[in-house]
Amino acid sequence: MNPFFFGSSEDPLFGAYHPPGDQRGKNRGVVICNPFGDEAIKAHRALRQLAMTLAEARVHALRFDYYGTGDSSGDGEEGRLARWCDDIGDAADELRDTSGVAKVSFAGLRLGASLALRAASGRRDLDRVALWDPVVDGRAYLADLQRFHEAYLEAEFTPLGPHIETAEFTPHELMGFPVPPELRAELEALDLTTEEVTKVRRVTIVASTKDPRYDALAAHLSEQGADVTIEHVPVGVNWNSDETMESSLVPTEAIDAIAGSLIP
Amino acid sequence: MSPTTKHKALLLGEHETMVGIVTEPASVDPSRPIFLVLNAGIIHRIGAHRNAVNIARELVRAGFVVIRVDLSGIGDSPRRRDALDFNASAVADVVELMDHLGRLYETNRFVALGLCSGADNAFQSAVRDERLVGAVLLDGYAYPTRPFRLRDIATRIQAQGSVANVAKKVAGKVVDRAIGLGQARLPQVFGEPPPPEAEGEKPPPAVPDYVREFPPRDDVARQLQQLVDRDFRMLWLYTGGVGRYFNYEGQFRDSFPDVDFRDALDVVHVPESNHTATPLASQRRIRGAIADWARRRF
Repeated sequence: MNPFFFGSSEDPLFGAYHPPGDQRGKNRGVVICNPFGDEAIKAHRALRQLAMTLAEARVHALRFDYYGTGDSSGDGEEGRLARWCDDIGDAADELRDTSGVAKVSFAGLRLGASLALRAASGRRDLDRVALWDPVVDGRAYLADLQRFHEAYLEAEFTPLGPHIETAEFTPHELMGFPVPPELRAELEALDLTTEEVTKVRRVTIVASTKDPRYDALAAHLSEQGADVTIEHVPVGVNWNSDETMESSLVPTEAIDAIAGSLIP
Repeated sequence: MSPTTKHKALLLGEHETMVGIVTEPASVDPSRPIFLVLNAGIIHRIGAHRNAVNIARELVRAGFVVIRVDLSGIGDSPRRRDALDFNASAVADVVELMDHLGRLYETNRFVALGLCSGADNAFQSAVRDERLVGAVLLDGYAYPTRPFRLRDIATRIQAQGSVANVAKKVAGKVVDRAIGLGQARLPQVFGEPPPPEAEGEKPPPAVPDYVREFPPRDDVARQLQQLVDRDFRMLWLYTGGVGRYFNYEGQFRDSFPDVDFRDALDVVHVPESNHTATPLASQRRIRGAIADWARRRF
């Protein structure tokens, strides 16, 4: 794995390039798109494993952090979906330059899947897209995050623990990360089942749970000309749970399903 | 972040396998030590809630070079080839990091910073290697004192509603210890992760096994005195998340009446914060305290 920074010298983004394990690499590259906030930390190990699995299959893989997240430059307060979509595009260009591949595929987890689909739309160099437990409905996602945030704080701030009476919270934070009003507004407007998507031909939705929203998304993408497959993976992972935070789960079946969908 | 701040990604250590992210101010002052930010548990180098990144950038604003690193077997760094246990592996890694960075930056002065297991690793590395001239220990070791116990009992009585309920809980803990559950429960008590492998899955890249145990107080007292005697500076910062073992600012000093700290010790208590500093206000207070300490001490 080669860690590096790319993009503008003022606002560099962090990338982790996984070259193919075999020098005779396939002419394929995959950009891996992180989820948001705490989910990205919980999923770090799983997405690293996905990159390693792809590299072992002779695919060029690039993990990276959006602006204002992870190791990239920028403050969390500056997080915006529009910027992060541009970052995915920049990462794809970087992967093509680094590896020499002609086409790229996108694989994203949770909010990263939603961003991957947006960033994929209209790209002439797009091969495939894999959406792992995508956030289809931004309002429902925010409500889930809020519920988990409250449950987490209730568990953490006990009479024997930190002093809740002196702890300060603002409405613009969830699970230790800023959610500025601009980002919240973008998330509230997110509905993948109504978005126009062009030039996206092959999509796999890898779903940990049976969720009618995935069926609705598949139907919507099919209407727009995409060949969509839903793969239900029995090993469910709740990315919004304390268990994932503390155990850094690696759901291998889901990883294999995603890798398989991107390497025909 | 200033546009002149420099970011670099490096592969560090004897075999250049540890992933490190360097953040530098526009102008590097070679007389100042370099900060090494160590992993907390198995969380990769950005830290819980990206706190390690934000602490690093606050230190850069204060004029320090900071390296956040994944120790072997954590985050993006592969496990060591010599199969050392978690603690020994971490200390050996820190020594290798200083060897590598010392050549790169032509310095032999470092400050280690870590939360929880990261604090323990920072302390043990400092004991081992004199190139460490300071440490920031977040929720590090602490030992009970009489005021601690009195406050603890008072808090429990307040929380449980009656002396009888507290007595019942205490009795339960004694039974747990007698049948050997006490040690096994330590990682959960202090918010450490259970082993990463889930049943039925093929094993992911290995993470060294880890159970958090504090060394005997007398050993730590002796080590503290050695550190003070070599002009080591230390900031011990405790959150309310470790109220089970630390509950007032003077506890650290009171735990070690036999150590002459002279001017080497600073202690900060942030009782309103949980262990991982989830509230943004707590994050700001903690990184502010660290940067203030760094400016004053170096």
